Amino acid sequence: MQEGRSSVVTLDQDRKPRVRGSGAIELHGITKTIGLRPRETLVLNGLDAIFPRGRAIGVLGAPGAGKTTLIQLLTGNLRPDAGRVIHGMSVSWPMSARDIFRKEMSIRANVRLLSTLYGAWAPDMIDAVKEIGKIRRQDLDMPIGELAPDFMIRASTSLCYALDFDCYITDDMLCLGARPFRDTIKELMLARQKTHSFIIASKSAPAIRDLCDDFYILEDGVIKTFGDRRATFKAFTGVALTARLDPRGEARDDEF
Amino acid sequence: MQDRTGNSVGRADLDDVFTEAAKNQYRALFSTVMAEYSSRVSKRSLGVIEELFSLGIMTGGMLLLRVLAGAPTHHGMPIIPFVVSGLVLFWMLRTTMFRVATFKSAKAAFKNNPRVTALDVLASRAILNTAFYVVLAYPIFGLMYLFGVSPPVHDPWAMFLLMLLMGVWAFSLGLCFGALFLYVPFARTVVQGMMMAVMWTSGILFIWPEAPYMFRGALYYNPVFHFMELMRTVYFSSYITAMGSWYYIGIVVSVTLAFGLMLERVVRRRAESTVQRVAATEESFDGEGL
Repeated sequence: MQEGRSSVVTLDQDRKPRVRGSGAIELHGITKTIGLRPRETLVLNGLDAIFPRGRAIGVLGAPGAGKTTLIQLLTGNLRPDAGRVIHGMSVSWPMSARDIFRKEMSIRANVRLLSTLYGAWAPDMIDAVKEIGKIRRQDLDMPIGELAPDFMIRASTSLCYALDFDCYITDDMLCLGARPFRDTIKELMLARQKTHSFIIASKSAPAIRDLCDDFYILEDGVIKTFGDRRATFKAFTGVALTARLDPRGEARDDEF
Repeated sequence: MQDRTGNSVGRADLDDVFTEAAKNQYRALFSTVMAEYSSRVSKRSLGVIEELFSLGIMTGGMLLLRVLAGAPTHHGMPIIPFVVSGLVLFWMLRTTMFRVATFKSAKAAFKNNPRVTALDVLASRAILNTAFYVVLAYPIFGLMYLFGVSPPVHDPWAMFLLMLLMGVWAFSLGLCFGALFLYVPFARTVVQGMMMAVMWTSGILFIWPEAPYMFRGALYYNPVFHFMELMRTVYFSSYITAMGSWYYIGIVVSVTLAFGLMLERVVRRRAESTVQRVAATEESFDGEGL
């Protein structure tokens, strides 16, 4: 991890109780190019980073900085051209992905497919999806392509939470769908922030400032830190971080 | 042995890693096979019907040729099972090969699922197609026997092994051609035409004793012809091939599989190259609306 204006952020990994996972997600010397010659683009260039468990980490980056590529590397969906990714905990698929379910299959078949893939008991997952996503029984067996897009979002997001990953990884979109569903997911997310890890890559610092414990900046193909949360935020946005309500109701040590 | 943190790693840990990896691989393959099956037959069975229809048309055409020529048997082998056994095996090769030679679409179907690789999807397509033809072949052969147009299958287990070998070979060829199609897309059309030529020259309608002497040198090294000769040997008790060799096709399948897997690994980056974003849009995220 490169330093910006000050030393590397010190992170207290034991702040939260019963944190899931056995270790951090480590990226060592990651280089990744996207596209093919002659139009290939160097996106990440010797990136080093450690995402400790039990933290909600926001990775801020301008459009085109490589947030999506980073997310794909963290979830294991892309392989680096050079370097190593070490996973000390189980990671979700990119939660913002809209095509995790196959449209020609029903919600039930998709949940079965992904439950089998992740070694979970499919009937339990189907029940959880019905409960969290408020999906009616008659909609479970319809091909997703014939349902409203909202169903796929509700089902895939519900399943992602039902599968109980150690670390949830997402792009700009934390949750889509109708308001009641987003409220449900918000509750789930806040409950899990005590025990699970979150990595959120976003171009909008204000949007995620209340959700993340730490901020990193993705710039020039590497991850930079600027000492603490406040300084990193300011370095990215150019404005000071202002105090807002802590969504978990906990006192932040860096509120100002 | 030590891990990256300096702790000693015991045999049990390594066994555990291997076991978990094997379990994950099994889950990935099982899930993708079921997903491919679901896509193919559960909601719309048109793909299966089309496949059966094309096979039926080809079989009917070939049988008609023989009936019009007044040749109801072929060296003691009834013509219907003779043609059907050859065509089922060849159709299995053809369809499996082209289903596997689709590297781009393989990962696209599971684009955001890190647990599934393109190779998993390709393998599941090969498994599903091979299983489809095996499941299709035995009832057809059984029905032909029941209707009195065919003798019973002489060695069903050997036939099963032969069909499995054909499935593996088709998968291997699919990997090789899939790599080629990535760089030269129009080669798909050329290979499709080539397969028609292979069909007519590889023993679906003739056996080794009938092969013209001038072509025997080429036929001797044609693996498809070896498959066809062995198919007739395991199907008909009255025919024992003079040249079909299990050893030869074993070598061919092994070498092709190794080569195909290497090629897939070499071109994987190109096949998976994409600039698509995880999210379809980059709308600003509203934290309040979470």
